[in-house]
Amino acid sequence: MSGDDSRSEAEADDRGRDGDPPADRAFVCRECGRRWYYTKPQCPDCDSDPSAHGTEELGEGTVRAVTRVEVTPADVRSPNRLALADFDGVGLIAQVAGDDDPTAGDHVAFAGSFTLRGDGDRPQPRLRVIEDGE
Amino acid sequence: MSRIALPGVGMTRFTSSDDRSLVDLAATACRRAVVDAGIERGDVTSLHVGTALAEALGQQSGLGNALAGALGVEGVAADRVENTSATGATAVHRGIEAVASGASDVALVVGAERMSGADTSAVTDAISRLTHTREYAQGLTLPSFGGLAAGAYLDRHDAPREALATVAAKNHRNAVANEVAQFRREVSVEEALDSPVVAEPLRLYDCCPMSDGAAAVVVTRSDRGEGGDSVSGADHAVGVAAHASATGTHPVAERPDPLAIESVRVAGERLFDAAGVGPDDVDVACIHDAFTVLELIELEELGFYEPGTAWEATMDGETAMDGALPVNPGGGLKARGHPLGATGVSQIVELVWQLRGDLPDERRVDGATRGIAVNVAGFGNNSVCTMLEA
Ligand SMILES: [Zn+2]
Repeated sequence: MSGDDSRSEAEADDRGRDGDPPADRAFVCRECGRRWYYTKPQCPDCDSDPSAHGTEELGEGTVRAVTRVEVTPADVRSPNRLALADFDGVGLIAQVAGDDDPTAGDHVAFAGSFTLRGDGDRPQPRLRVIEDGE
Repeated sequence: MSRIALPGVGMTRFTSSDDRSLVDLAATACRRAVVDAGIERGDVTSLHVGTALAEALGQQSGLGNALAGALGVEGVAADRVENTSATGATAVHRGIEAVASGASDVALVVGAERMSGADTSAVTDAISRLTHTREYAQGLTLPSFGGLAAGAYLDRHDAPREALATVAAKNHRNAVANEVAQFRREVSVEEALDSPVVAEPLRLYDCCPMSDGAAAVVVTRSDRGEGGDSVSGADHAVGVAAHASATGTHPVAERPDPLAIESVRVAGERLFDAAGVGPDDVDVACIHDAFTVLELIELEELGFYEPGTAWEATMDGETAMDGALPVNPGGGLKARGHPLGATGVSQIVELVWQLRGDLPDERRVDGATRGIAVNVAGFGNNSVCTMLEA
């Protein structure tokens, strides 16, 4: 089995302009189980090619660092609140939704449908703080 | 013993807007370095040209060849080096390696950038494109990474925002007497603290500016002068003790610790191993302070300070001109300016000036004989370290 054709049609349809999956999904290697977020041409552990890579929802993560960016590119909201979060060993930086104001240690999950950049790419979820007991 | 020597350096004053073209800027720095080395342009055998944004900003492509023609050194080997914000130091390393291998006799290295040649949003976008596509999709800019790291640094080490502002104030103070610096005026800690937010907790004065400028260095062997050859001062010139670089993860969030810049640590270890000396043996350092917090993190990654302690050392004045380890005596990226492709070469120019000791008293690190420079691509994508000795 080889080549990108073996990727399921549903997953292929989910890819954005850069070939990246929706913001709330991580890659998972079907050969070795390794998970990662930032699109790669091969599995970082077993070197399998993208035909062996599926995606899965990230679920709940923990905030490690936050910032509020006031000076942003023309097609990005200002301020742009960002969180660096860890999802069971998978790290990522993503936009924070609404008036949520997370701090390090808060729990977050992706939700909703937003325009992250005003560049015509598909709408994406943002991070939301999960209150205790939610 | 023969070693790699830097007999001549030169640069243009860094500025927010220089009317000269990219080729003119580069050629000006080259002529100054050639004159400073006491050689003729005909002695040059290879040209190593660093620029990061020329094509992205619609400027001169094929800069190496255009510059060879502009300088009238056609016939030399020439190429162009690109490594985002570490382009300059990487070009210096290619020049060092060309001479060390014997492929080149006299290497002329130049880094140049003209960031005023396009509107700010175009420059910002060109720089943001160095991120991973999934980082770019979230609107991430370089200051975004700086804000995340700065917040985490202050939080974890229970440090005040004054620690960041102290870095800015120190580097601005150092630039006042530097004739080639973009900002030659003091900025107080209070001014830095009160400046507008760029990426919380980073303020305007925590961030380097956009700049135009060029810097150049002549690289040759120290024994080339024997027999009356033209680089007669090379045996007395500042020498290259070691050079080393390392890549880190491309996406910043793939690092196990948001405060660790592993590429700086690895490149620094390689540098000290190759030189056979340690951080205590260094008299002066040029650190890639694109954001104030980076000066603190890099000093820790390089082993000058334990993790979480560089901020206190900075507030205690240890990294000031009269401190135990003067850091960024020329003003750093913060105040000398940051024309991407030129910055890494300008750090080498600054170290050569310091180690020669031929600067005015108020500019000079007294008695410095060994210095290091670290030039960083992206937010730690690649770190390029160089050690020089008088
Ligand atoms: Zn795998």
